[in-house]
Amino acid sequence: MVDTAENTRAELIALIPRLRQFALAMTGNRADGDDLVQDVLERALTRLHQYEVGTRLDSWVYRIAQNCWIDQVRKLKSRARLVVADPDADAPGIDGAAAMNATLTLSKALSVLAQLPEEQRVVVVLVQVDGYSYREASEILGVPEGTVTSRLSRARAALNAEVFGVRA
Amino acid sequence: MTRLSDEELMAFADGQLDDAQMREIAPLVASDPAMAAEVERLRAGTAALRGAFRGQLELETPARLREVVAKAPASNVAILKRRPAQAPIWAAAAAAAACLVVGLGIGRGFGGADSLFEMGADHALVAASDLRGALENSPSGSGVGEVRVALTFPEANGGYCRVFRIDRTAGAATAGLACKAVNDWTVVALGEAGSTASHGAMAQAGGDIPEAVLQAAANRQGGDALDANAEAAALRAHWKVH
Repeated sequence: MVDTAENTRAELIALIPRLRQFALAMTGNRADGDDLVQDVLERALTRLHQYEVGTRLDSWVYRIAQNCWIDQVRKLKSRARLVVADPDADAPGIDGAAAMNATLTLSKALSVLAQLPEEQRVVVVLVQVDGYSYREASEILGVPEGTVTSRLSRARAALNAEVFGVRA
Repeated sequence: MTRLSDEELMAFADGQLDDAQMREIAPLVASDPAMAAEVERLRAGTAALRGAFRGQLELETPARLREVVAKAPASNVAILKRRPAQAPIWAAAAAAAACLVVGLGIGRGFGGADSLFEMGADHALVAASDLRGALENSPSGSGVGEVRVALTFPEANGGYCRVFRIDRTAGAATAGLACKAVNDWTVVALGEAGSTASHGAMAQAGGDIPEAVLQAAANRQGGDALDANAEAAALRAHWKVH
């Protein structure tokens, strides 16, 4: 078997696609997203001694991602923010078999997410995009599960109206 | 008629309630068209969002990000001893098998009666139906329905993983790796079978096995594949580890 250091590197590298998706969804554009991922990886690597062996590496890295992102938001807020949609992002995002004939493109999804308050956006991204449970999201964010639920519920009232038109 | 709060209904739609609550609420929702429509709308919203991000997980990682990790001093990365026991692999598995997973919906067991996969408690993709039956009960070389088990190997921690193959009557064949968690078989990797180069004993045992599955197997493998006797013993013990 390969040695443990190489395993850890491999696990971190394997997490990069998910981190990039998270960061893209949070920042609204690829360049800021990848800068965020780089910060996260650097911070994770210098803090590995804080990682508790046997717990989930991904949750731990996501907690770091959340903290890095908060830092980045603080920096970004001091300058005007331009959300640049990717030019290749306008291909239909879901196929015809998907429910309600909805076609949500990546750029549309990013612009809708960008309209959410930050604390709601992160919950939507963790749960709906990344597939974490409410409990896992609450652990990553360090907030009670009820807070996750109420933020998610409020976000989706707005999101679903945006994606599917008027609420039923 | 019991009134559910928006948050309860959302948690139901997302499959986030415990089994007893899910069972309690399901008939209420089914008998109330407005609630049923709201559940559908919530699920469709998630499906649309997930769909918008489809393909993101398969994008090639930029070299500069890879290098951040690859070039970190070894002293930084030697601390971790083992893989987390319950790595949430559904995302990776879903990426490898997007065509299979699209129909899953978000809740536990909402993939339809004949779905071979469902979402486990921690959002891992777990085996269901014939796949679960084959992994639990079939010796290597046999199976249930469209599922054939190829081989069994031990994990380093003493558990078991099995390589399987699904030959659908319609559509491409799929191969995958599943490992026994407490009660479920967690699907660790999935890929389209048949077109990819295959290697060694595992390939001989299982036919064409995609690279992603071989890689996942190599990562989990803690010893040689079980022979028929050892496998029969593990089957009889219901894969319990003592």
